[in-house]
Parts: sequence; C-alpha cells; structure tokens
Amino acid sequence: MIEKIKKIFSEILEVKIDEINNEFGPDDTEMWDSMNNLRLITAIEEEFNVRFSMNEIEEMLNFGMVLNTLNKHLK
Amino acid sequence: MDNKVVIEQIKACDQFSEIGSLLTSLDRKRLTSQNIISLSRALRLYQDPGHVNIAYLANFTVDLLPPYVEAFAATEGLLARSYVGKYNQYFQEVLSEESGLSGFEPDLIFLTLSLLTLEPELKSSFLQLSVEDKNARIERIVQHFQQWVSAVKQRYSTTVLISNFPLPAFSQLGIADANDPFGEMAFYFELNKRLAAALNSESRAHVFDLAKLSARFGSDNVFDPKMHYMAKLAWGEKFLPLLADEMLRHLLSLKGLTRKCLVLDLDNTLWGGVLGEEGPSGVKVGPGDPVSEAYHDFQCKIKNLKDRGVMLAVCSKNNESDVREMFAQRSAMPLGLDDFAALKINWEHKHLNIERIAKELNIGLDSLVFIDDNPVECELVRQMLPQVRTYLVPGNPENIPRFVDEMIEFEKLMILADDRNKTRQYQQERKREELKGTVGDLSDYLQSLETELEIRVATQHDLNRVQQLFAKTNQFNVTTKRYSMAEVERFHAGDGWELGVAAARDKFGDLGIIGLYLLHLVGSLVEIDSFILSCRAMGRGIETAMMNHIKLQHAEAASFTARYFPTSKNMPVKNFFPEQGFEVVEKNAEQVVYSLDMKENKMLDCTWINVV
Repeated sequence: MIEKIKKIFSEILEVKIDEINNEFGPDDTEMWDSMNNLRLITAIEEEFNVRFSMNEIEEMLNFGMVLNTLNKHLK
Repeated sequence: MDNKVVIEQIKACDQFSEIGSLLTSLDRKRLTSQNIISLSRALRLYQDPGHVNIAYLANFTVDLLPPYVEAFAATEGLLARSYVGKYNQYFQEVLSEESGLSGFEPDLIFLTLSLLTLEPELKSSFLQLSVEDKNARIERIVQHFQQWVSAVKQRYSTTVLISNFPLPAFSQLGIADANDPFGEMAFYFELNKRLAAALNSESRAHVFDLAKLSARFGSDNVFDPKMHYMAKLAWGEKFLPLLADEMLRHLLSLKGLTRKCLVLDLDNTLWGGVLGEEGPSGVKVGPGDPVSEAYHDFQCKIKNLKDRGVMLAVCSKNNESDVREMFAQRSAMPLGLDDFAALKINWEHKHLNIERIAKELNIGLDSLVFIDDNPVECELVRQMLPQVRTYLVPGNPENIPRFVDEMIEFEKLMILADDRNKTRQYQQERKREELKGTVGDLSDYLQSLETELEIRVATQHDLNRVQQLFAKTNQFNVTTKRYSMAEVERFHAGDGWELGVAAARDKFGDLGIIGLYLLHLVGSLVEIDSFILSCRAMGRGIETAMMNHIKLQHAEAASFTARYFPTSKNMPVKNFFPEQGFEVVEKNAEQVVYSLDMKENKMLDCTWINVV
C-alpha cells in the first residue's frame, strides 16, 4: 500500500520515490500546491476507493499523516 | 498501445512537430487523470508555437480543466496553450492592458460563471421572488454577459465561448417546482434561452452548452461538495473529460478542421448481416427485432449528419446490382441511395475506392471519415491513407447509434440552409453518370445533357472561386501554377492579363464556375498562362468551347503560345494543346511549348454546348 501511495505522490509531485518519507510535506517541494493537493487526494481516493472528509483533509499536512488517515479508512 | 507507454515516448521528444504519429495512437476515451497530468506537463515543455491559445475566465476555480483540454486537443494534433484568469476578475482581465490575458494573445476566451456566485440571492430567497423579479433578474444576468462581450470586442478580435447554466439537482420548491410555470427549473430554462438569443446576435460569441453536458453526466455527480467548499471547484474531476471533449469539438470547428464526408461500409455497418448471403429481405434493419432496430437508429443518426451538411458515401465490397436491389426493396430504411453523394460498390481495394470518392467529391482525404466493421479493412485504410480518419464500428449493434454521437469530426457552430443542399449537387453529378450508362453513343449523351456555358471575364465576385480553382485543381491544369489571392487580384486588375471564367449548367442543375483561363497579353502576343477545368466538368467538351472562345476573342493576335508542365497528376491534359490544333515548338522533360498557327486557326466542333 505504501508503495502505491508513494507512486501517486511521485507522479503528481514529480519527486523521486526515495525522497518521500513520513515528514515529506508541502515545504519540501513547490509542486505541492493547492491544485496538486486536490489531485493527490482525488488520486488516493480513487486508488483505494475511500472518501476523505474535509476535516481529515485539513489535518493531512505531510505524507505520514496522509498514510495514517488512509490506514484508518482501510481498517 | 497503452496510453502510459505512448506518453512516456512523447516525453522523450523535443518538439511537438515530431510526435504526430504518437498522438494519434493515444486513446482519448481512456486517458486517466494521471495520464492527463503527465501528458499536459510534457506538452507545456514544448517550445513550438501553440496552434490555439485558450483563456479560461471564471468565478470559481477552473484550473483543473485546462490540462484536460490540452491533452484532448493533442490527440487531434493541436497544441493548445492555456491561460487561467484571476479568480472572478473576468471584466478586469479583458479591460486592463496590464492583465495576464492581454499578454497571452488568446484565440479563444472561455467564460464560465457559477450562477449562485453571480446571484447569491437565487440560493437563499428564490421562493420570495415574484414573476417580475425573476424576469428582471434574467434580464440583468443576460446584460451582464452582453456588457462583457462588448468589453472583449473593444480589445480582442477573438472568439468567445460562454457557458450556460446547468439545472440544479434539486429545486428549492421540491416537487412543486414542476407545477410552477416559473419555478426554479423554468427559471434556468428561460435564462439559458435568453442568453442564447442574446449571443446569437453576436458574430463571435457562442454558447458552450454546459447545461446539456451536466444533464448528460448527471447533475448529482457534476458537483463534488468537498471540492466545492475546500477549493471553490464547481466541477468534480470526473466531469472534466466530458467538458474537454466538448471544448475539443469547438476547437476543431474554430480551426476549420471539421471533416466533410462520412464513408460507410454496408454489410454489418449500415445493416446487420451480409447482403450477398442473406439477401435484401434477410439483412437486419428496421423495426421488429432488437438488432434491426439498432441499425435503424444508426441510419437515422447518419441521416441527421447528412442534414447537417455532411456528405455520405458508400464504400462496400458487394455487387452493385445487389445493393441497388436492396435499397429498392427496403425503401422503408431511413437512408436511401439518394442520400449518398458517391457510391463505390465493387470488389477492389477500399483505399483505392476511398481515394476515388475524395476525387469525385473534389475534397481532400483529410476531409473523410471512414467506418467499417472489418478490422483488416480498417487497418489497410489506416496504413494506405493515414489522412483519412478510420473507425472500426463497435462490435455490438446496441452501441452503434451512440458511436455516431461520439464522433467529434463533423461539428459546426451553425448549420446553414446551404449545408442541406450539398448532397444534391453531387447527386446531380451521379445522375449525369447514370445517364452516360444508358445512352449508348457519347455524342448522344453529351447532346442530352443540354449543357449551357457562360464564358466571361472574371468579376470581383468570382475571385474567391478563381483562387480556389488555382489552389485545388490538379488534373485538368496545364501549368499547375498556384496563385495567391493577391496575385489573382492583380490579374483581375488587367494590365496585360486577361482572366476568364466559365460557368456551366445542364439539365440536372447548376455546376457553378468550373473553369478558368489566364492569358498574358504582350502587345499582339498572347500566351496561355493557365488553363484549368474542375474535374467534375471534364469529359464533355467544355475545354474546347473555352478554347474556341479564346481563339475568337484573339483572332487578331500575331502569335499564340502555350505551355504544358507535366506533373504526376495532370496527365489528362497531356494532349490537350495538340488536340486543340497547337503545334509543338519545343519539348523537354520540364515542359512542352506550343504555338498556334493563326492562319490555320480553326474552331473545333462542340455543337452540344450552348455558349450563352
């Protein structure tokens, strides 16, 4: 699962997969802007067939948090 | 090939102009959102000048749409550049000289406004509005758009597209809405109707039918509440392919890339089954069973295309007599033989027949769409004639009617009365051909056509057609000189040039201007610079009547010269000058020079043409 999310991140944000760790966030790349944030969310929702709430999205401030929130949905 | 693989290959190319064949192997209907992102990013890196600059102005976040449009346009070989205007500043963008729009040089400005942002009260207090209030509100909104269009016209000569308003999924009146003559839905209908009427009087402003697209997609799904609240998006991402598809239809029309003729196979395309095996009563089309009804609907859609001005042609491996019998026997079919501008029913290769159709209709191969149920035939045509757009008919009959709707090649912004008559002109040509078959003797045939020919010096009014003949005629063209409009105007102005045109009509109809000649006059010397006859007027002696006319007009000339420049296509005129009494003066690989002995100058016989 982690590999799938990393792949989505690397494609949308144009970063190398090994650059993505749990602390990886919007400050690490200017590609992580509001539009690409929407794209990330949509792509993850699609890939794992989940729907994040607005509250959850507001909390997802770095890669690790995205992972945690997704894990809650997949449990 | 998988879209992703193609996109990786595209990324490896340095120039847009290099990727033509890759683009055509993209499957537009299967582009994923990931594909769109990577393709549009690759396209944005190209330094090539864009084919079309599109500006997007909106009062909501519209940024997710341009990459879709760029990717979709690329699948049709168009490099689209995008500019997204500042949020809700659609007036400032067009009025200010310092705006981003101003530096962008748009070819197309797309304005899309959310009604509830424009008129928030419609959200909170629609039920309190009186009929007068509603009418006034509609008037105000329409005027708002008219003012914006005027503002655009002050500074830009571009086309503008304005989206109309999709109906909401729910009405504030509940089920009572349907019983209220001016309920919320009625309000949207009326608003869209009046907006269309207002834009209709503007030559460069057109409606983008968002209401239709939203209905087609489902108003429940257009809108993603989370994205709306978080990012002011009016559209969920899944709706974007449909919007991009519609935009692409507009772009093709805007860029003059609309195709003109649909070439159809017959067996298992226009009807179910094989005519040669099942016979006219056995093939499936018409009411009765599910498969027959699908083919019936398909034919209805094809007929609609014809009424929109698309020419239809048949290209089928069959016995022509069987097909004629089929159309005669199954006269209840929506399509009759009369609906086709060209018929090629024989056992020769389809690509050869398709070339003949293009020639017969006098249109380029890039104006044709060909559909067939046989993958082998499709592949052969694709390889031999890549300019032709070839589609394999869906394997399941139930999908065939819809397949016509999904073709984007035939879009026009307006359908003119003229479009509906296009097929008639070509039908007249077919009747002439049929007559030729029934009349045994050629001169009897020519006589029976009752051709009238008017030969005159070209008028200003004729010059567009003259330039078109110079540009397009390949076969009956002795020198194949491609003159520009500016040059044509110079010839028309005289001063040593005589530009003549020939217009013909016969008992089947008017052929219009079908020939021209251009003489260079130096003192009493006459040189035939160009002599052109449209291919649909060949083989009936019109060229002789034209040459007689020239000889008569210049009977006093001291000398008469002419040249023939051979090309791969103008073999039909190889012997034209000798046949008209000219003698060879000089001959080499590039040209043959002729002269006409004025003492021996004779008119050739063409009594079947009545020169008026």
